[in-house]
Amino acid sequence: METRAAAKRKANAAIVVVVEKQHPKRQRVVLGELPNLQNLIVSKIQNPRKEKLQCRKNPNANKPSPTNNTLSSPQLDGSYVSDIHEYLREMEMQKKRRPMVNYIEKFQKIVTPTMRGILVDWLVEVAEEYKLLSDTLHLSVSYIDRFLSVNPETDPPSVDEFCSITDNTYDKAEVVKMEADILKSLKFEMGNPTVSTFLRRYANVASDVQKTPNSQIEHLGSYIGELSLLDYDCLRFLPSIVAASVIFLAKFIIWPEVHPWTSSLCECSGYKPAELKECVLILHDLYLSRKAASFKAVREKYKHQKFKCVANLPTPPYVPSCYFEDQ
Amino acid sequence: MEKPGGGGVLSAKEAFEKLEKVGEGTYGKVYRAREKATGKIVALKKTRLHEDEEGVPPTTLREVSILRMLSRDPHVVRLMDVKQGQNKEGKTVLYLVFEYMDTDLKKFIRSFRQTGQTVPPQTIKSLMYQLCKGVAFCHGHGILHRDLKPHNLLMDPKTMMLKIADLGLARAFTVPIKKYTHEILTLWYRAPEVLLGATHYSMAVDIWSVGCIFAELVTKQALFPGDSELQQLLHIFRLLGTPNEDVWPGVSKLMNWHEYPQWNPQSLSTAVPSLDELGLDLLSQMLKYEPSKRISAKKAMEHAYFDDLDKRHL
Repeated sequence: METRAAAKRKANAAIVVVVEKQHPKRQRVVLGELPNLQNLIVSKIQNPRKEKLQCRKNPNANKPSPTNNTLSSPQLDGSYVSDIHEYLREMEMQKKRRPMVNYIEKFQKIVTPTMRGILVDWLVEVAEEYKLLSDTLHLSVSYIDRFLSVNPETDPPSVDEFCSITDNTYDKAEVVKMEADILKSLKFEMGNPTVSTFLRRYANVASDVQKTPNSQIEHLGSYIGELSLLDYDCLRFLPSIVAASVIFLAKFIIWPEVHPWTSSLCECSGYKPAELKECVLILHDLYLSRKAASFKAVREKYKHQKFKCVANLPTPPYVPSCYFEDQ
Repeated sequence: MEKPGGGGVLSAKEAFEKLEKVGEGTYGKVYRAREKATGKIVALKKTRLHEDEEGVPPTTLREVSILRMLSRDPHVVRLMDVKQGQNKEGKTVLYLVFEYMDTDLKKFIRSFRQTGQTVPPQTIKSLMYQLCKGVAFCHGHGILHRDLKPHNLLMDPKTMMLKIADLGLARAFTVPIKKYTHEILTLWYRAPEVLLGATHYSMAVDIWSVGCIFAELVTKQALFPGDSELQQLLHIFRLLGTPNEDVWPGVSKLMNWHEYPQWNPQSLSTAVPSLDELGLDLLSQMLKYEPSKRISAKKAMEHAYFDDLDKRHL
């Protein structure tokens, strides 16, 4: 009999295939062996928060929000921007498009939050290796969480049913079979918005108002967004909340002495700073490696020059609580 | 009937009786069929899944996931169910179960051409309004169709209801727009920016197609019937004039831009003589060279051309 861990690996291979088909001209990958889970130490949260930073008003806090044209390429008619955003916000709340928040505790006998983190960290490497879009990575993780939410105890097929297995890599027929199972299980609801869906819009608004090079906010946002994938705790939050919190934290990292949240960001995201507090603090812990410190792939990836080395940017050890008060 | 992807106990073979083959696509055949339990007529789109090859074809995957996102708009064809079955060789087959529509706009236009009749102006107006409404719905939900043409617009000739179908090439787009492949869209309805190799494009490509369909409804002939990418561009340039940096900033930087023969723009009324002034105005806004200047589907619905249309049942 195939082990349950192997069955999970096969499912993950199929998930990458499903997502990749939605991004044509990308090479597909089949996942290999996950690292050994024994003796894995996940660092505890240290450094109690202290407050030293002075809270300053953001000079841009009450600037009018940018016109719709700044949120998009010239070909995108501005009148659709808010329609699409509204629809995505509506869609992200649909139960069928979200993983169950505490599915590991409720259902999973095998998968643990640590194992999930290892898998996601490894998927980041796969995405880098094959130059996959950030959207692909976010969708893959979303499908995995949703699949594991509705398949608590998948009985793996017997070895006899496999055509050939070498080096823990499944042949195409096996991955295709699993792909069909995943699609059936998720009822073909593959169009769910992810953190990266919302990040682009919020990053555009942030860089437009702040007159910052878009790439710095974008790269830092992508980095924190991918860090959020590592943390099972982040499943509690809607993707739009995570995306808004990512931008909040990114702006805090770049300008720690200026209030990160502007009226434009508030208007375009629909969130006030207080609503982001819990998520921002989790992301801040991830950024400082106070959580998920053993997962290196995301951190190594964003130390590269092509991402402007954003993983090396310093940040204060705490976020002043006054930044979470409404302006 | 169960909801899409419900994976009910009955296989496609048990649940449906195939009546006739009505079409064939890249990945399989389309049948008119009867649901045995209810007697309801449906369209079955059969997709071969070669398990030794690549699994569910990307077009099918995109079409199903996008139709699942678009829920139930009256002007987008309804996906009623997804069923798995097996063919004679025992290979897995996926059946997409759609509501059945009697005809499509291509056949509808052909029937008028064959009898020498013109499509009544109010019928054109109604069909165009429904098309704009369906496209606006897709665009408002972040979906780009990318292959709008008369053949992909299904119709009920009794009620004159029109529905957008065949979302196999559609993309759910995000803001800002990603680079897309330009090898899409049937040649005759392909926007000039796609023909010229633009990799960043958006809703405007669908609006160009809508404009071409509008003209075809009026004249019963394709507006730009090119048989190659170059010929397609030349057809467009002959009518609308060869574009330059003044009318379309950035055009000369597009990948496929060359020195083309220089034509002056003609009046659209030379190509679509029987269309009234308001119709010509709307058409001209749909066929603007610069994509950002092209009218949106949402704005098109508000155009004065549609003012005298009874929109209550559309």
